[in-house]
Amino acid sequence: MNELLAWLRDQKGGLRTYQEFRGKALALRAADPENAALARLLADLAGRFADIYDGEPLPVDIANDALARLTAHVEKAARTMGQNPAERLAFLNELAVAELS
Amino acid sequence: MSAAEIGRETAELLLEAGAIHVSRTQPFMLAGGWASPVYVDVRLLLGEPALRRAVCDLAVRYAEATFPAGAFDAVAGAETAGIPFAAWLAERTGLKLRYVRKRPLGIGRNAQVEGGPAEGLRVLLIDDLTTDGGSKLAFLRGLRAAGATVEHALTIFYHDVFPGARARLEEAGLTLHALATWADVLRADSSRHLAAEDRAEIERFLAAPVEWSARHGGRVSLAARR
Repeated sequence: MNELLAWLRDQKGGLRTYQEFRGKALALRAADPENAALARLLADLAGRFADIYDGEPLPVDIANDALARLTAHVEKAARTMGQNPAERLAFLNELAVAELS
Repeated sequence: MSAAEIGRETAELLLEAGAIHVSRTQPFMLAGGWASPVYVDVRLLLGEPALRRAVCDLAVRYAEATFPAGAFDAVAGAETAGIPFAAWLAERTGLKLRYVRKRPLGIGRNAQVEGGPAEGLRVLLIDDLTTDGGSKLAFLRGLRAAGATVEHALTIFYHDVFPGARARLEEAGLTLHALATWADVLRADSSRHLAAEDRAEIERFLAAPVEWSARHGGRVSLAARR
């Protein structure tokens, strides 16, 4: 998760960021079965945003806001991995209803 | 008909279709992270019968003038707007038609290319628009993974303003062809379709696109995030 976060912090914030993030999160799901649900939900979160704006105009303000939200979610995901099961479940539920725009 | 004439006519079709959108107050973020005051919706051109017939005529003329006869076995339309454009070109040229998804289906045979086998076919990749070439690379990988030989891509419009796009495609062995670029739009008669202020904003952007992007919340260079 920390590698994914470091990568995200170095991204440009265009739609390709979210498309690539989805692929990386799905790879993380396969590589780290204990955190598969977390990786899947993050992949879906970024993927939904990428699909909504694919081929559509993406205003800079919305792009920047989405990047800040996704970065915050991944930061929290990295922190949550060391927490107890109840806290991890609470964060999974938070992610399950989150959107980037 | 020269490439310059094809470019000017294509640009006029785009303007007539209302495909050139300018926002002086809220910039757009392009796929690669560049900020831009303009958004080009080529689908508006494809949606109108007379305009799409005209752009297909121009594409066929461009192909006839650029590629030797028999250079391709098939055209492949890129998901999504490249698919109808490729279908009309296939009908006009008698070539096979395939289409290529943005990513493999993920189930069953995990197909990325549809419409029949691509193995051994010499394919011209068709799309509506090219910004920084990133999506073309994904389509290229899909077609090559299916066994096609792909060395050329043809799009209706190519921004041709930000650094790195054409070089990245060339590095992958793909030569990009575009019917029109921003230079053609500026050469075309835009007076009936663009407000003077919008045209001036486009000119400011095109004069220094990287700097314009940096000033409006987008990328500041090929390497830097912002």
